[in-house]
Amino acid sequence: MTDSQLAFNRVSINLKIIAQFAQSLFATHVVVKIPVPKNTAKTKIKTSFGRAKYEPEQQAIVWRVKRFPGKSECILGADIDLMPTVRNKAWARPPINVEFQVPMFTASGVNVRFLRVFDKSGYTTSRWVRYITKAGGYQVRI
Amino acid sequence: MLELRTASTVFAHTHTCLWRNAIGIISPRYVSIQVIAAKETGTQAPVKRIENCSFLYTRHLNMYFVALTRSNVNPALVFEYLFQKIRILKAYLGEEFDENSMRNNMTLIYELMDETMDFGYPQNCAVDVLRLYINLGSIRQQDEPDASQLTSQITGAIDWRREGIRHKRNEVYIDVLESVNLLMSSTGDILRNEVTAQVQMNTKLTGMPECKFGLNDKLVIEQESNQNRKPGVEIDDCTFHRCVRLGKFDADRTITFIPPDGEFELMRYRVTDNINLPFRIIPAVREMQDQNR
Repeated sequence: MTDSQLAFNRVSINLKIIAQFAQSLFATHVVVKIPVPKNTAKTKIKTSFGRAKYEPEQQAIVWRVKRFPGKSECILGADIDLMPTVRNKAWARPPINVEFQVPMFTASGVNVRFLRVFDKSGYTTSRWVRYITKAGGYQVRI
Repeated sequence: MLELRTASTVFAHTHTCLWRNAIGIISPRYVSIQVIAAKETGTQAPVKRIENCSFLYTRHLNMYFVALTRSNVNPALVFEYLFQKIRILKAYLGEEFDENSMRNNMTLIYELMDETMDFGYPQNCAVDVLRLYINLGSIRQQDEPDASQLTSQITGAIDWRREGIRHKRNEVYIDVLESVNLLMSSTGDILRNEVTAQVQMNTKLTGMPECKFGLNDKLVIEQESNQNRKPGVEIDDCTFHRCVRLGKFDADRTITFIPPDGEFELMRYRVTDNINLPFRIIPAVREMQDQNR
């Protein structure tokens, strides 16, 4: 058996993503980057919502969901055909990276209890509080 | 202190302006060879010692801001000053100020040097206050302050806010910006998980208001006898804008301050326990060998 015969020539990826925040909220700008091997030839991707496509320059399947409602879940299935390569190096399997923004949600559970303003003249102050949670490095190894 | 700036083509152009230079003139060319040319190749630390003199530098676009000292100063102080300096110049000359705009505003830069630094000690670096008496460049004076008031303002305890600010409507906007970091292993174990956050404020308040700010901090809620409250959040590593009274915070964890006018970052914090992960991700990846091809 030669090296090239040992090599994998297909990868199948199934991914489930579950929004765990309240139903009344939604996430925006959700981008899931699923890395694929360098020698990817063809991809077949199905998603339950959002748009996903293989972006060779990123070496990843990039799945974008503009508006992700709370307490919902979403599935992606991808079949990847690989090109045969001369050198048969194992795929490093970099982690899946997720970006998102969730307005009016704090992952830490922190909220503003009060802001009191005292001034000699004793005016009243109106105040507005906004919360937003973003993904810093949000990674899942595969 | 000495400020030196060079274009990224180091040898073609070296320009120095010496300012109350207690160190003596060290050839700027020598500095560019030792410090900046070395920086171009990467890997160099931002502090360099040459002939008993420490060079601390940072970069904005293709300019280097270099501070020099012969004494054993706190490098964090020096870098904070350099960063503040760049921030001030951004406010005066625009975000993308470059060598040309600096050269065209030489007098302004000398004035700013004069105000922000005395005999090597950093002074007032608040843009809002500086704009009261240095109004060249893109910052224009809004209202003429009283000369007598000016002195007490600059030398007073609260140099980030001036007296006599008026707003028709008194408003405060608070933004809590959190950033979740997660690293999960392929078996679903959480390897690293923390939240880092900033509290941004935009205040439009009249006079010199005293503000008290409260989060659902676990330590504060436990102090209050009220039992039927939801438990608070364990908040770690709080850092504050300098308007916050740290003594008060250390004593009973209340956040009190007289805010600057306009936008500022009130505090930063970190939370490492009981994080609500917004998304759960369950991947299944299989590498296969298809014989049919």
